[in-house]
Amino acid sequence: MVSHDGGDFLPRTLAALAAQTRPADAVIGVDTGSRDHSAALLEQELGKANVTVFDQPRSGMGGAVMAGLKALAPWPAEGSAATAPGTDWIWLLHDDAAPAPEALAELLRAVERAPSVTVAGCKQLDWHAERRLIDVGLSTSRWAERLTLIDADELDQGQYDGRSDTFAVNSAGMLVRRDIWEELRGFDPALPGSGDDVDFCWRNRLAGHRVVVVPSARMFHVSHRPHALGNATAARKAQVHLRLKHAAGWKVPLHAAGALLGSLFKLVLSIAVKDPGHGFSQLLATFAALGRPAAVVRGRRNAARTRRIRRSVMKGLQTPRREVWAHRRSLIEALGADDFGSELTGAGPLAEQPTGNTDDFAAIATPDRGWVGSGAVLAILLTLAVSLTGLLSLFRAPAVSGGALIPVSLRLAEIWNHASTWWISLGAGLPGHGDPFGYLLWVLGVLGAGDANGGVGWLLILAMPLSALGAWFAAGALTARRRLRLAAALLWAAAPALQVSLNQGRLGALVAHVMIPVVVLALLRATGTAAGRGIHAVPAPGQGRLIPRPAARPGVNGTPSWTAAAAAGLALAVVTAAAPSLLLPSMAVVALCGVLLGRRGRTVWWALLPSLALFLPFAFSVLDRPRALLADPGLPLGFDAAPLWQQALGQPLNFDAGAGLTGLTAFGGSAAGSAGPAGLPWALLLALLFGLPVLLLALAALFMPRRLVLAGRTRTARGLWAVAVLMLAGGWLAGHVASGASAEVLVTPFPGPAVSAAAFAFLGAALIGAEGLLDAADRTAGTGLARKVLIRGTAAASMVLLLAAPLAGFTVWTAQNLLQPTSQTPTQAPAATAGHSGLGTPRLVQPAQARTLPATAVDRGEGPEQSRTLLIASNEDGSFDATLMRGAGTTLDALSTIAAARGILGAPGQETVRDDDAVAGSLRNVVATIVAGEGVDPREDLERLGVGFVVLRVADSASELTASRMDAVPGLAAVGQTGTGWLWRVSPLDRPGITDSDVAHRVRVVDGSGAAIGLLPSEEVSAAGTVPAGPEGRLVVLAERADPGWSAWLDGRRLTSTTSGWSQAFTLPAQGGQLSIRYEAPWAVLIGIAQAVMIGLTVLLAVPMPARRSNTGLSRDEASLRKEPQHV
Amino acid sequence: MSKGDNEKETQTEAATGPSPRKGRLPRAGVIGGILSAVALVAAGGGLVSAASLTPQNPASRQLEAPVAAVPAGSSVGVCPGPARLLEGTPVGTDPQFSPESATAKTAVSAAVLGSSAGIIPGSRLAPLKGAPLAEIAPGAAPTASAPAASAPPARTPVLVAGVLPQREVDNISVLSADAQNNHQAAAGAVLSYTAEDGDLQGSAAAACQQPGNDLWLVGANTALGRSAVLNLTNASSTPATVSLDLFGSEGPIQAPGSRGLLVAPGSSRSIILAGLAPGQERLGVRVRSTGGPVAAVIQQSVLRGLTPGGVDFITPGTAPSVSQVAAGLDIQDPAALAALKAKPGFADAGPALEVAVPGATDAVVEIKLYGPDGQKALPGGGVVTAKAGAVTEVSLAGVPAGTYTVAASSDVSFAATARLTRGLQAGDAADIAFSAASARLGSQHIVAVPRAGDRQLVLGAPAGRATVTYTPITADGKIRTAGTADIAGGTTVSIKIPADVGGSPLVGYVVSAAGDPAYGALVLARDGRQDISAVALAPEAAGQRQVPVTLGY
Repeated sequence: MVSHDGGDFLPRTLAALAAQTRPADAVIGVDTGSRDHSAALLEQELGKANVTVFDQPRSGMGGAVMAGLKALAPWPAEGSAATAPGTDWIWLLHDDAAPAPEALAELLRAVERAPSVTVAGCKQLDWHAERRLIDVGLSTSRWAERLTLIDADELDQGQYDGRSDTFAVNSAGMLVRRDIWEELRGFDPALPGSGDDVDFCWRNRLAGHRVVVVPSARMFHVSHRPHALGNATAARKAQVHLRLKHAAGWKVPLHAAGALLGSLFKLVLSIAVKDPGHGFSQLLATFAALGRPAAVVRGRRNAARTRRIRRSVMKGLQTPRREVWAHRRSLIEALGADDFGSELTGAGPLAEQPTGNTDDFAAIATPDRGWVGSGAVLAILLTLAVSLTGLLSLFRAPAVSGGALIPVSLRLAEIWNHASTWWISLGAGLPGHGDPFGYLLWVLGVLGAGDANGGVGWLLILAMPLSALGAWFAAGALTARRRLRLAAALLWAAAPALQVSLNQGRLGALVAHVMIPVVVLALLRATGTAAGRGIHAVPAPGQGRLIPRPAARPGVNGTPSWTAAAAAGLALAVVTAAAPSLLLPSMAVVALCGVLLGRRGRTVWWALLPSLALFLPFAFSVLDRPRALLADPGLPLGFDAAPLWQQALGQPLNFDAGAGLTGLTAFGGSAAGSAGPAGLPWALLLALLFGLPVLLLALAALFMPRRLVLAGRTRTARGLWAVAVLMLAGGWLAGHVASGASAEVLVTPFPGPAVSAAAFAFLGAALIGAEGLLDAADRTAGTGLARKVLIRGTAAASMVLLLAAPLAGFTVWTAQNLLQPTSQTPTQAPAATAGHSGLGTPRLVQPAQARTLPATAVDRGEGPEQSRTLLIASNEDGSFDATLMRGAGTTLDALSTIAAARGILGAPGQETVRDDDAVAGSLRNVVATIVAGEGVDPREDLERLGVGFVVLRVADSASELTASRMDAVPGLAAVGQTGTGWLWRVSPLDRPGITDSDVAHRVRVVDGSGAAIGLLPSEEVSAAGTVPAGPEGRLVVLAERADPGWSAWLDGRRLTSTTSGWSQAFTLPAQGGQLSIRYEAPWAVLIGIAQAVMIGLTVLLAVPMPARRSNTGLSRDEASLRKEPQHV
Repeated sequence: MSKGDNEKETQTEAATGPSPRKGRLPRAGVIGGILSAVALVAAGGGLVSAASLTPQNPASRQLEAPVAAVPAGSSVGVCPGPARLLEGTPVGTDPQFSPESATAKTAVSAAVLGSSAGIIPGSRLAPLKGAPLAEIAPGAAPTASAPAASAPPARTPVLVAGVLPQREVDNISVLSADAQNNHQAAAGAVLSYTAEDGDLQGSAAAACQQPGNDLWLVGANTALGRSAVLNLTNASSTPATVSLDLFGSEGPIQAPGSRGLLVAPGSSRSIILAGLAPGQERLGVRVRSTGGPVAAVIQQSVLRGLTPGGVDFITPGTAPSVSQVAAGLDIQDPAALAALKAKPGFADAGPALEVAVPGATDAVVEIKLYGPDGQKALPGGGVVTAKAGAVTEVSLAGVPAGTYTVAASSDVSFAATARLTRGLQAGDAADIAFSAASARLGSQHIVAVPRAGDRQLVLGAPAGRATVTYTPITADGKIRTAGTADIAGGTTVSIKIPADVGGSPLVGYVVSAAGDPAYGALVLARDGRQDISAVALAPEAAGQRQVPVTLGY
């Protein structure tokens, strides 16, 4: 009798033992370090002398039995086995298994009849429901899975009473001949829990003995015992261990590999059916089993010692695969039927279960009210009208640029390459991984049917409706009131952060704003915090009755949801990629949820994975300049950040409290800083109208009496407050770090995303507060008049304010965009933003052409020449802006925050931009040479930079003068005026050996003196071509910064890397051959695979499936199917 | 945090159902909830107030555009070729009336200033194509011994110069001097032409000019007997496409063939202006080049019947502006001039200022003459209205004979060139000269001086007192003791140039000015002949230029 924490079961078990018709000769009790009164019970019943305490709970049944026997009934030494074999039997009993009175007698009768039987077992029935079968003998599949082959809820009708010989029997009530027990050395200590009985019987059979089950000996076993050793993990561990132990020696590695692959496959399957926890634990169990070769070797040696017959004999006893599958299918069907049944019983009005986003419509639908989605439709139509009015010129524009926005590449493949590259193709190139934002642009391009520029344009126009829709759905998780959902949708679409992002072309902040409600909704569902409406009837365990309880579908009312967690992860990845400054705060929020919510928060950990996967390679490449992790995607655009109190009101950009509305003269917008008509501070008024009601309602939600709000809502409100404070603090801290430098401005991360995140958290809390207020107003029937008027008045006023604020916001934004001409030159943006201090920002985005360079230059830039274009613009103050562009011109996807952050030095707050490196210095010199027109030949430097074309952008009359000076520069052949500006072709220096090209190449072969003697075709990063034989001392030179990641092979032989000035070069041998050059980053492939796996699995997990539990069974084995029907 | 409690509550609620919750709400939970809410609000408020108390750096800081040094190019001076007759001029057999000159001499004088270390930049005089005519200094190879050699002179800077005294040339030549230490070399050259017979007798001189892309030449005359030949020279390696804008006496002249004139690299092209704008007594030409910069010069000659009326080169003046100054006006006796000008065909035989007004607005030009002893009033007040798009001539005759500086100002931009003449007898050969409006003197003008003749350095200071230092460069390459001219405001000073300084022939000057704006010109005459020519001082060598360049993405 082995007991471990079995105090609840021992009395019945001991009573049953005492009531045996054929009492045991001697009873030995072993307690394995119980923390309850089991040991005392044992001692009381069996006598102190017969009880031993074996204080190693992890060694399992086998170890306990061995220890007990050794201590209280030692087996005589091997040599002096004088006693006749077959006389002593041991009967193994569990603390939670009570034998029927005649059990021992039946067992002994069975073994007496057949002397070759050395192990006999009982029919296992349920402890509570005494007719429910647990097992009648055990079997294994070919894969050593322990099988009972009993259907779910199968009742004992004597249908298995004919069984006798079986593969194995349950250890509870196993009768073993003592000499065999000693010979086989008991249970395998490597299998403390599940599978020890199977293993023992297996070895017993291999030793040439029989195993029978005696159905007439019944045993009542507790089937769902908490904290049991025999859980699914242990079962899997045992299964793998058994496979390795009982396979032929040469097959062991195959089985190990097979087990691993099987587990991986099961993991994927489990993710697909939204049950990743099981898949992971199985995988871990497999690893654990594979990770102890010593135990396997010990087990194999022990098994080999006693083996008498061939291993293959066992095959006949194992259950064939088809039977296993048929059995599992029936179990799965049984589970499904279970589910179905519960739904049936709950049918009726109470069974409306709003779960997925789409179900919400049906949930609240009742005949006397309108369709629930009408609020969303109203919000979408209204915001679409506003958005189209304010951004009309962007409608069907070929591309959009201005502010922080420039056109995107025309080809999807190019966007993908830019996002996934390890070599940033910007200017003279630099090492580093592409921005995670690039993947978003790619997705946008896919959504735009291959036209990413169109996608960006549509995103700008649809940003408001999409925000409204997202907020409407997210509000549904917090409140059931339609007008609050409508108010939330409108408030979110009219948020100042969104308007600023739209007008300044901050695509990242815009995407973050649109996606934040989705993240919040998904996180609420992942932790089961979302409000679930409706009641469901579920049979309580162990009871036949159905008791009504709140809907317990994944995602609502405390039931975590894997699907929602994965969706939250994907949405969070989108948000963090679009606004990297949110990465750390949001990670902190998710981690806090995971830690503080305990079991309910276990799914949210998954939400971290996609963001981490997305940022992994990027972070890997910015280890030396981590400030790039904070930088906003897009062109660094100057702004004037709002102080924190304004940010708390939802305003990302600073405004003077007394100022008017920018661009609206009627509201004091003409003179910045001056008050409007009647001295009213319009900016402050509008900001307060927008932010204050929400803040006050959010505050009210914190202190709302509990009886006014739904259960847990106050806590949700507090959580949202904490999130808001955390986000504001994160944004404020990030605002100290300069993260991007453009040509003329050094910027910190834009506070918009942090403001958006905090604002949505406040909005969520405000919804809770408002709902409480409205509930209170509804319940005022019995109270006094004054109180009634007060509460109802407050509720009505807050509703009016909540709806008035967005409408005012829409009106002001539309009027500002319509009345004020868009700023024509994007470069003036910082000056414009620095000067104005009223509320609202001028619109900088405007339609543009998708190509920024003349077609001739684009043609050569994208061809095998990969020649670059130097774009020069002259400013009024006599300075010049110069840009070294590749291909079709710098695109949004080609921009890199690494490049933007790389020149910044210094502690936060005192950053400076470091002096030029060789490339920038050379580029500046070239530009000075060209614009001065002193007759100095710039071609040496231009060739090194790979520049084939020079474009002077037409800006003002001064550029005409510059153009005529540039005409005089030797080596620049004027092509003419193009749509972009004046174009010059750089005529190559007269070099022998180069006759077939008229433009600079990215890859060239130079001789010892540095003169180009050959040109090679190349792609954007890699290059390949045939090099003819030539003199010694040749170099192949790339117009790229030197970096150790570059490598070149000539006919498969690696070339020595060297440098030529600042550029990467390789020494060429005298003989020619096929040359290939590429850039390789360490770990690139591994990281890429990890990324793909993590994102892929998350997508798989996030794909909504009909939540039929039967599906989840697909990835499970029999034991866990039977044992754990309630899971997520 | 609060969500943890939430879970427990939900769980208990799930187990017990919602009904019995109201009564048994734990008071501790309520207080804890309120405390946590207060803590949250306090955290938010504290954060906001802390943020407003600590100084926040501005979110965006403007960056200064870094400046990039412009690499100095080599200093190039294109010297015009000798004055030539128009092709197709009938050449008779009588040597006395031959249009060709047997005595024509053309020579270039050049000087290149060495650095303070005593190294003369590599410089040479070369024809447009072919081997150099003369090497003034070898190209400065990167010498390792330079520091050792320059160590003693560093203490006592002995300035040296490379000189090319009076080298005879027979075609267009180019003086080029390499940049040194990223500074443009200070170099200057002058071409002088003299002839004592033939149609083109007289003297002509021009400073060798730095090519440009936008040049203004005013003062040509294509009337009967006058010939004006525009020479365009492209000494660069880039082809130049030249367009000419012609301003006549009545207004702009649309001439077919004045656009898209291609001047190949290392070549020159002559355009007879009479072919584009015939019969124009006053003609201004704006030369615009796309591609390589060009040098432009008009060879203007006058033939009154059989009497040569002189020859000179019209060189580009300063770009149009509201104030122009031309120095070196040598004006003859007013009475004799008046008599001469009254004769038919001699209307252009007197000094005048030619004013070209581009654009569409007429200019009211006020002209002031500053003589050796102050301003002299012009007859008629000196205020004229110049028609927009045309060239207006303002006679400068009527002031006492002497050397003058003319300053003109207006409210509208204009270009100007002064014409001066020598010779008061209608029957004798006379000469003309042109002094284009020049820029104010700077710090280091190299003024090469032709060898022979009566040479004067004329310096004028129209506005205020100026001090001009002129340092002689002699043929032995030495820089001699500087002379200083202190010019009172509104006066003109003429300095006679000696033939030798310190026993060595003088080749040129280094002219530097300080104080109020000063202007200068060389006036060359010849003893015993009515020859005159004027050379505006060439601009100084460009200093180290810096251009702010920002690099974008």
